[in-house]
Amino acid sequence: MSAWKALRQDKIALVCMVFLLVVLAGGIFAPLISPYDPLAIDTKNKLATCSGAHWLGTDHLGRDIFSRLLYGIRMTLGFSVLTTGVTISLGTVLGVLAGFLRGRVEKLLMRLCDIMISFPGEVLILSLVGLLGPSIQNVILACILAKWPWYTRMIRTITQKYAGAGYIVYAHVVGYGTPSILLRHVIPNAAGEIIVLATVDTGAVILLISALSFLGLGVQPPAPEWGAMLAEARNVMVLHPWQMLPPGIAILSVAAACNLLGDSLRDALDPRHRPAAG
Amino acid sequence: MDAHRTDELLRLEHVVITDRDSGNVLADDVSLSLRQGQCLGIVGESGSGKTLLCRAIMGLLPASLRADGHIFLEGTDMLHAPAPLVRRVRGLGISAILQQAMTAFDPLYTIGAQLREIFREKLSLTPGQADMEAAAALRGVNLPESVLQSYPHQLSGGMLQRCMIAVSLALRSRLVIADEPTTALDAHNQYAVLERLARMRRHGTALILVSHDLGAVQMLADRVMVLCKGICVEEGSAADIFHAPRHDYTRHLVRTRLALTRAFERLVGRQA
Amino acid sequence: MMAGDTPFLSVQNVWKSYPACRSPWQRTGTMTPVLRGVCFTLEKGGTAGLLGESGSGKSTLSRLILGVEKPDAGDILIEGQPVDRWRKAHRGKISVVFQDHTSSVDPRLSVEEIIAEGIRAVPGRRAGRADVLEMLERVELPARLARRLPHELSGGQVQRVCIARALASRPELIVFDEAVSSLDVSVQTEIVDLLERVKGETGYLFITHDIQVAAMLCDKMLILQHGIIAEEFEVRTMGEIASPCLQRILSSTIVFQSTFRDDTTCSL
Repeated sequence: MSAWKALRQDKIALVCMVFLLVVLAGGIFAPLISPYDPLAIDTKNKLATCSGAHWLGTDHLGRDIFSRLLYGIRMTLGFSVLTTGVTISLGTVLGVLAGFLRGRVEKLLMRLCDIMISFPGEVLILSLVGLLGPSIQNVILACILAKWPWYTRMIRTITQKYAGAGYIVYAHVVGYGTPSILLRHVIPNAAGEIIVLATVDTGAVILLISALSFLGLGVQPPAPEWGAMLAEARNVMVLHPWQMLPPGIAILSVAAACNLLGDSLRDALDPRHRPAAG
Repeated sequence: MDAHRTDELLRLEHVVITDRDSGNVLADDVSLSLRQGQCLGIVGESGSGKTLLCRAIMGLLPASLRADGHIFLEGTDMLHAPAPLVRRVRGLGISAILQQAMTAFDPLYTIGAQLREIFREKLSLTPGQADMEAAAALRGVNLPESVLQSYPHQLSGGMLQRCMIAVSLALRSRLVIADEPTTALDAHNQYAVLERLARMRRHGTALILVSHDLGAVQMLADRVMVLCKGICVEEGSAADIFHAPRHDYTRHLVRTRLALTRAFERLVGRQA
Repeated sequence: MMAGDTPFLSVQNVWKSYPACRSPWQRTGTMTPVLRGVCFTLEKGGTAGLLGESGSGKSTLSRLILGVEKPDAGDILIEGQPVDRWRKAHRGKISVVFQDHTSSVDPRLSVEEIIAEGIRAVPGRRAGRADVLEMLERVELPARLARRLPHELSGGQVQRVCIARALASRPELIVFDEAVSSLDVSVQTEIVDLLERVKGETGYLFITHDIQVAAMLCDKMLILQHGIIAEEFEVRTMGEIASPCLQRILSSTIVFQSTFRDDTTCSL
């Protein structure tokens, strides 16, 4: 497929993809790779620096940071992808319906979105988690609740852009039904932009989940999650500042890779950006 | 090519336009010369390099393209002279009439405000004089004064096209480059715009008219250049090109354009 | 017109208005009427040119006839039924070709898939490769283009694909909405040649601002001006009509003159 070819020629995209795949593999095979149990406490050996035994040192309870980072991938990346996936699916269904059917469906959905969007996102999430109690399930639920209106609105706009196109009008005129037009023309064409949206936003959700865990609202200790690790490292920041580096850099690089990959995808998925074959 | 005639306005010598990335040659070895008050028609199908050539003359090629050769506008080499000089020559000597009239004006301001600003800047007029100049310019192209208070989206493509012509007229440009000025217009407005351009020529303005429509070019041009895939395949007086085309490609253009007219003439009963 | 017979397409006193917009900042509640009582009929298999300047309501009228929008007042009937009901009962029997060749085909689909969509519009018909190739041949495109994507084709080629798609469902009426206006004149001629050969196979309404093209392709001419049909006549009698409306159009038609005559066939 030529989108894939275009993506392969983009060096930044290639680096980002390889990096994310390595990170993903690290998360999946964490039990095989990690040298220590991420929860094993070894107080004699706490706050150790990098060494052959502990590649990235140990934290304030003597747990191996490298092992915790690996297991953290499952938490951080897994939960982010889950959150984005559910939000996007919800947003796509509602956005496409609103953008294509117009009329009352659209008005109702858009007013609902307006109401949701008029709350500041972070405050909404914080109050929801506060209400439901701090746990990762509630953080994910709150993120989905706070984010779906944004997606619905954006995907509605994307859909509307395509809904006026000649090929949609043609399909309508010769008698294809709405479901078949949506599945054959609207969604595949909008998918490119939606995937870009999703990739960029996965980066944002990683930051959000890490931030909530950092505040103690998300993943509960002792489970290894990057944001929570950062929060624990903060307690010893003055004496052992390098403790913040491994989780900090991990969050930064994964979020950045998602963003850069999203940009490259945008160009690669648009057939008009590809050079003509003849 | 006759060297340095006193009334020569524009001369292109062996202009080659290449794409920096792919190395594709988009215009190959184009030479032409234009005297004051003359009209040159450039014809060719889409993708023949007509628009690029115009942009090269104005010094407005996109950064990804490179132009070699010489483009002399009143003696200044537009490709090699220092940027401020190029800008000054371009500002006083050339004006452009573009295909997409809708995007040539800022949608946030009225036509009047935009014309006044151009006239104050270019002709160093006081606001009062600029107002009068703007009104006079519109009268010159048969537009009512109410157009001054209109926003671009309230006017039709043909009216906006005539506004651009009004600007070129008022600035007394010595060279006007009209790149497909009629393509986006309906038949009636096409005719009106071409008529205005013809009147402009009578004021002594030199004109480069780029079009794929031989009929439009025939109305105005004394000389015609035929571009095909970036190469000038035929150049000569309008009468020669239209009545006795030599190159196969020119013949194809004449034949196809003639086919459109012939059936029509038969019906209306006009004789060619 | 045969008296007593219901015409194939009948547009009866159609009105349509859109909200007026004064400037980017303010919207007024007033409506601008675009169509003000349009009436005309078209026989089965008849070809009519709908001629009008930009802003005369041509495109609005085409959207109404296609049943994409509904008129504010008046009726548009095909074989005596409202358009959308007739369209549901006769799938693929009305079709359309647009002006803007960049958005008239799905950029993701190959030429083959685009044409297959037209063939499959008729219930029960399957689109085999042979059917697609046959359609490509009808619009004089080489078979090797079947696997190409739209952005790899020229404007004229895309327009041929659109015509193939429209013909594929064997329609009884095709609406050509400025189908040749954005093409180079030389390509326009090729498309007009192609459409002349299609004539007789299907009826069509050819919407254009160019009287020369309309005169070549249509038997009947309708002139739309300020939202009403200002003039309606048979094309072959055009030379005898002396209405000011038609004279104005004729006087502003750019006629190309050349003494060049050669009868070698076009090698396109």
